Amino acid sequence: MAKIIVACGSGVASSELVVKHISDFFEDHHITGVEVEATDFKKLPDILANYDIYVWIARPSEEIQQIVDDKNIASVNGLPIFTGQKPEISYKAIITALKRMQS
Amino acid sequence: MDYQTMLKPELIFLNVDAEDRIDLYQQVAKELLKLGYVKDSYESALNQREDEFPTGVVSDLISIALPHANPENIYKPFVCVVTTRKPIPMLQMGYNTEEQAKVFFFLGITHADDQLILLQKFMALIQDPIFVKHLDKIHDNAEMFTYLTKEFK
Repeated sequence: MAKIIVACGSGVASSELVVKHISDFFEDHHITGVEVEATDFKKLPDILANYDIYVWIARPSEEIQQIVDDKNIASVNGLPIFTGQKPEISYKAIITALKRMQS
Repeated sequence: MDYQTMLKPELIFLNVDAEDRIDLYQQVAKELLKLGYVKDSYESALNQREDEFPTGVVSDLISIALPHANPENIYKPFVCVVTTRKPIPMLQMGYNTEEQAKVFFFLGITHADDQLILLQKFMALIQDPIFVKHLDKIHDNAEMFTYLTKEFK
C-alpha cells in the first residue's frame, strides 16, 4: 500500500483540497491501493517518514528536506494541483513515483 | 456554513490606498475588528502567517493573494474582498517568489472544511477571463457584491 502525504502551512485547507483532487484523479484513472492524507507543517516532521510520496504546497523547510533525502521519499510539487493550472505536471510526477516503487 | 453567505456587502473595499502589505493588512484588520469579525490578535496572526507561508497565487490572467490567519483569531466566518489602487508586492504560495497583487480575498475561516469549495471556486475564477475582466472593471461596492454573489452560486 503506497502512502501519500500532502502538507500545507495554512489553515485554509489547501492540503485537504489537494487530497481531494488526487483522490478524484485516482478514482477517474482506476488507480487503487494508494492512501492519500493531509497534514500541516507542525505535524509533518514527526510523521513524514511513514510516507512514500510527499506532495508539497508550501516550500519544504530544511528539516523536512532532510527527512525526504534520508528516507528516500519522492517529493512532488502539488501547487499545479492546488491552483488547477497544468495539474497533469503533478499527477505525472506522482504516477512516476508510484511506478518506481513497484519496480 | 454556506460559503455564499460569507460574502458581505460591508466587507468589500475597492481601490484601497496602501503603501505595502503591512499597511494594507493594518487597514483591513482595523475594519474587520471594528465590524466584529476578528479578534485583536488577528492582524499579527495574519502577518505571521504571510511571513511563514505566503498566500499569493498567480494564474495566467491575474495575481491575487488569499490572506488568512488561524481560526482562533476569527469570531465569525467571512470573505473580505479588497482591491488596491496600486500593485502590492507579495510572495507566491509554495514558491516564495515575488508577485504584484491588486486583488486580495481575505478568508476568515472558523472550520477548515468550510472552505474547500471556496478555495476551489477561487482557483477556478482566477482562470476565468470574464471574471478577471469584471474584477478589474467594477469600481462600485454594491455592484461588486452583486456580481460576486452571482459568481459564487
